[in-house]
Amino acid sequence: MIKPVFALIDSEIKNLSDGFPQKTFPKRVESVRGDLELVGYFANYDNKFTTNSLFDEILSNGFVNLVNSNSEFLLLWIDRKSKELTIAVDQANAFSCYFSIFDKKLVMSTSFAEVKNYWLEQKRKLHLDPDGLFTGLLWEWHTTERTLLDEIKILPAGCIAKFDLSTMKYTLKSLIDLEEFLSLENSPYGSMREFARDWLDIIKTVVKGRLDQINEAKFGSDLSSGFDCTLIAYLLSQLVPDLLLCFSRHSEIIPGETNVGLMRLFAQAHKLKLKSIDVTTIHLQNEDLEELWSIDDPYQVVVTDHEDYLSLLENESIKVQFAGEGGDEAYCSREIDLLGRFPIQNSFFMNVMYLKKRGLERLFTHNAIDYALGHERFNQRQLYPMIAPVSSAVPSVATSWRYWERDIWQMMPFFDTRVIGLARRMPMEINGNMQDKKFAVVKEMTEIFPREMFISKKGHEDTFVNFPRKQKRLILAVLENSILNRIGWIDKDKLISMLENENSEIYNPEFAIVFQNMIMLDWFMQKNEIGD
Amino acid sequence: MKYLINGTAIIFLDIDRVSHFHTIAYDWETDSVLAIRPKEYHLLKYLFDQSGATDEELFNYLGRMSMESEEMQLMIKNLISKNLIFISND
Repeated sequence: MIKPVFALIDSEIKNLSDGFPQKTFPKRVESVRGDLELVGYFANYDNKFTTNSLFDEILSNGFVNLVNSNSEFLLLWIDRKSKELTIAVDQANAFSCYFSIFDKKLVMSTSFAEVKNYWLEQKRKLHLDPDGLFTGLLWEWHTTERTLLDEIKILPAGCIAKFDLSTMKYTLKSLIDLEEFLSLENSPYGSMREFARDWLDIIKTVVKGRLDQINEAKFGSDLSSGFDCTLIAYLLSQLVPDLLLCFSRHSEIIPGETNVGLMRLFAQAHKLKLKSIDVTTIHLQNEDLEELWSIDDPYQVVVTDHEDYLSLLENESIKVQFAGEGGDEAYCSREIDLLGRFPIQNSFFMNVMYLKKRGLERLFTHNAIDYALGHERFNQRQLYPMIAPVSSAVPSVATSWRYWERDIWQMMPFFDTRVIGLARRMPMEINGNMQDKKFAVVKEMTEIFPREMFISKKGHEDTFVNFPRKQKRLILAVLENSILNRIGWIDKDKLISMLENENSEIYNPEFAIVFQNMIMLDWFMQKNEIGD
Repeated sequence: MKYLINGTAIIFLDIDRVSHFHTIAYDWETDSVLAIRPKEYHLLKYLFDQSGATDEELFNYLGRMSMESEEMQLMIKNLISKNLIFISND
């Protein structure tokens, strides 16, 4: 088990590197020159930087070029003379960096629980952050420094945090140059065939660039019956024949999410070795979750199918796992020209969509909706632009700590800006939703995707209806002492009544997801005695 | 007759001055994102701040903004067609 990064930093700045454990990938970097020190983790995928050139690059140019490259990093730059600390993270959100100022000390970690527990061990109360809480309830992720708890912040993708260690005052700033990215060639292709050819080329280049950096680390690829991770797996198998091992999970509850027959057909067609795990039992949610839930994990990742999947990887000594996250969003990259420039407004629209258009407001009180859609909530936000797909990259904070513990690194080729840049040039005649656009491109790749794969794919929402069906005792116990009820965001009696009626909306998959989030987060806040 | 703004189609933020009052709005009927230019922004903001406006109030607004009547009428017609403004006869 790899420990998370943890550092307690004051103006003395002692033994900083002790809090940064060695990992298989990305490798730890450490360098000292006089009063200057660099420590952290770094990997670059577009041949712009090496670990050897890192120190001089930061000394000369700061972090701006690093942030705007296709790199993954968490880096601390210390100037002992001026007592200044800069923390920087890459633009794809590969590292979670949580921090908190506590009694003239900076507490930082890659683990939310580590920072949370430090506060609790000092016998200090933590308080909820309403914006962070509502984000978690709806699973509406956006770039922000805010978390569930007011005292704990997270460094947004592509940002630096500069600390004056004498006063512990800090500033946050995004270094992502969105306008530079948007100024790149974006004229649409005239031919879908040509676009598909270049699409395949660029993703292959990006996959190879990542493969070249992992050296001897054993790698694998995720596989499903969709087109994203299968494309990555196919390209890997072309680059390193006979070396690739693919992993998948399937469930009788959500056969549409990963169709085992299609997956095996694809694996057979391309001679891929495949290990798949049946996670039906987990999706049935029969176990007593009260016994399994952790007070350190707001989203209870440990009891999801993620755990079994990670165990599968760990048993095979996988250290780097390629995945197709961000593939869906990549096919809609043209939207970044507007939505990328106005992320706060986009978040507002997402909240309106979930609450008004999809009716999820019926799970909340008027007070909650007034807050959730109130202009003040969005007016308080800072602007953190992002090029990598926000809806894939930002939620990874919920699960990345489990991968970290097992020394497994998630590799996401679709987060690469070169892929997103080309996707903006998709031929204009392609309309429709994300799936329509994707189909239009991948059907040009007849040598890769058998025609049997071209069926509509559903998500995994259906698994959530088992939560209100099977976990009534836990739900009632949580609602009895509900913090969400106390702050006036839910009407617990109304929800109890809905729970007792199998025809009510909480048994609708879309509502069940939010309902489960409510109970999980309320339980977490109660167990950690979070104040409002 | 009053011109009212669709409150779920646009949000006004302090940060809008940084983008020189360019923003985006959402047409919930067609599920499309719309680019909003500064003149449209100021008109929509006026309607939002006033909780709607009559023809006379819009005429006065026009005078203050040095906007031609025809230009504003076209703009309003366009914004109505995109479901950002609606007319109430209450």
